[in-house]
Amino acid sequence: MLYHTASGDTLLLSSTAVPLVARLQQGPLEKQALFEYAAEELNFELDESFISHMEEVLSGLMKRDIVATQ
Amino acid sequence: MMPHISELDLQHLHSLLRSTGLYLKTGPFTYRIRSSVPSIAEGLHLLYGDNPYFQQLDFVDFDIRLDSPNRLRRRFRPKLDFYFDHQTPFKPLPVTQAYAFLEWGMNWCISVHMNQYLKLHAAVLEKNGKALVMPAAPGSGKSTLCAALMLRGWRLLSDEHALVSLQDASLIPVCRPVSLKNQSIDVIKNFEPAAVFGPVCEDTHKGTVVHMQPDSRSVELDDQRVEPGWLVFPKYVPESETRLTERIKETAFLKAGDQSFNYSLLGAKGFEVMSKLVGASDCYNFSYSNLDEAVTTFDKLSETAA
Repeated sequence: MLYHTASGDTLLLSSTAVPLVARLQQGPLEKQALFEYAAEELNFELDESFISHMEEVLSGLMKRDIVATQ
Repeated sequence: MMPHISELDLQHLHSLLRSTGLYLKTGPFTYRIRSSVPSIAEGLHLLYGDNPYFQQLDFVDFDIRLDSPNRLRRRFRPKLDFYFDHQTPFKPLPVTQAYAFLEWGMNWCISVHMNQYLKLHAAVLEKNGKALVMPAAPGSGKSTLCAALMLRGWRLLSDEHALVSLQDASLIPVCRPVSLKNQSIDVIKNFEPAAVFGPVCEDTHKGTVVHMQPDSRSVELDDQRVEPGWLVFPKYVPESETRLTERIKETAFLKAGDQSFNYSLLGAKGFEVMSKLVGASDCYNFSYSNLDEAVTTFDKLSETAA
């Protein structure tokens, strides 16, 4: 669960989005390092299919203004 | 020690209501209630007998009055207005619905104001030191189940409002009569013939409505908060089996939010407190049609509090 301060919405995150958001709440991170962190947290191999899925997840979070790029 | 309403005779209570008003304490709130309608006096005398009252107060949370707007309205198709701080937030209702109008108005006072709590539309009871919070939409059988549990020894905190402390997510009691309507009235009368009911209000927009007296112990403990224990979403399903199934906390959170009066209004604080409430509660869906089985199920659940 996430409280989105900008909109006041309560969001239910997918299980794969949770480590991304949790890590970014601590501070900004390069995409590669972020995916490495998520793979470790979720106990997945950091292979092409995982990266492709996380790209989609990250893109969704950016569309909802939950994550921003610098 | 404050005097209780049962110490007033009905005539004296009616006289107070017609003049300076009754200063009624229920949970953390005080109401000043004024009305010349006899059924209001009768209902308060019957249902709030164990509640303390004050002779006079400099401050009350809610100043309410139910009376006819003019002499004509007292005689011709008599109707009542509900005055809140001299405003009339509702359309007038027939005098035959006076007691239900009072209770609805008292609920409205809490629902619309009092944002120092996270408020859910929910019944709240207590057993073994833990609170059972049952958020539900109207028509889900929440009040019937709540009445049955109270009549079988659970402490009633509220039939209508879960008041959640913004500090520690404990449940704050505001123990008032349980509202029953239509078939639920006979269901509870058959379930417990000794239950005490107030004035019957027929042909309301909810059908026939009657309020049931809370037990003395629940009223006596009306200032004692309770830690959250269980968050249960009840649903009466005719002829169904009794079924209590675990529910994941994330969706329980969202559903409880749907049943809140002020979750969005409280913003990040609401999220924080709801997180504490859900985090400290075991979450379930509950469907039932048999009240005895329902009570047995909750009694077993209460044993997990230990």
